[in-house]
Amino acid sequence: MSDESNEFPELQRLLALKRHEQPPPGYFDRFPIRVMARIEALELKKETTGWRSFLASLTSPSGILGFNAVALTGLALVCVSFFHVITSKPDDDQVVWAPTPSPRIPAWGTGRWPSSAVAADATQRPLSVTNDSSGAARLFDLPTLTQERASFVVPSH
Amino acid sequence: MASQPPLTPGPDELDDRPLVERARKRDPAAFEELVCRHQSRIYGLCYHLTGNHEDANDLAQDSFIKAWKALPGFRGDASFVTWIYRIATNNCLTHLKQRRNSLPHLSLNDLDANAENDPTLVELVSHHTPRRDSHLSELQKRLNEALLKLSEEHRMVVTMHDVQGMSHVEIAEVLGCNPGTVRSRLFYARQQLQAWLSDLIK
Repeated sequence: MSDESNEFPELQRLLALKRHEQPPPGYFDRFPIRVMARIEALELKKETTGWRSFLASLTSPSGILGFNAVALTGLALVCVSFFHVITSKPDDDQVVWAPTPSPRIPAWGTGRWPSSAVAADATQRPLSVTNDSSGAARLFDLPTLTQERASFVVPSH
Repeated sequence: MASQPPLTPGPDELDDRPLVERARKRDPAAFEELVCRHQSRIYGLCYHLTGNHEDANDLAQDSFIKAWKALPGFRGDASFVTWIYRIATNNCLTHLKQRRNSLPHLSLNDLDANAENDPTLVELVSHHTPRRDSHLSELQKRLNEALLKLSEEHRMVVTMHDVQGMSHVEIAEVLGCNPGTVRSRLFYARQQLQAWLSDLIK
């Protein structure tokens, strides 16, 4: 309560009478309900404010002008795109073909390649090998590869 | 508004912090509980500062609504009740500044049932006139007129200290000044009131 010396006791007693002044009966039962109703209305208003301002901006004169401008620009872009599509011809020079997959030739471990395997590569694209130990440097050195005649011994029965 | 507890909660008093934490997360039920706990004090402050039930009602409601809006930013440096007191005080000051040029309209409320048994009041009233009811009303009027003659800052400290029973430190915390300033304002305000109500105080 009070933490000072009492120099005006009578006045303080008189002022303390003001504590008896009360609002109408039941006032404090209704007060929280009123406050919460106002808060609820406030929250509801906050939620709808975004939409309302958007709609209001659309219906205002400047909003209508802006909306029309955007709509006209969009329509013009669609028309230009459509006109471009129907008037343009396909140009073969500009066609870019998708790359075909490189042939995969098994590395035979001897460092020599059969000519048939190399000649079969009609795509003229770099070859790849599946055996990593054969060394990538040899892949593009095909012309210097030596060719040897194979000899087969057919066993007689 | 009879005998209100001090702002600083004692060990047995309800702790607002869990409710404040829930209300900060936008829990209306928690905030409603805070309103229930502190409505009497806040209404009392607004009433004694304005001397008018209608204004006090609006200002007290506005104070809680402002508190709800500002609650996410409440850091908890002060207690909730000190914080809401600050909001209500600023609210009232703004209102009183706007009303300053117009004549204050007093619509004094009826005294509660306990008032008639208060020895000070009985003594004052019976001493001056046999028409007890009319004198009671006259006493209220004189008291409120005297309070309204004080400046807002002096009325505030008298209301908080002598009517609502807050300590100097609590008032200083609410008003954002030091307790010495509160003491000097209180002393000056009491001197003024004593002079104006000298015929009632013997």
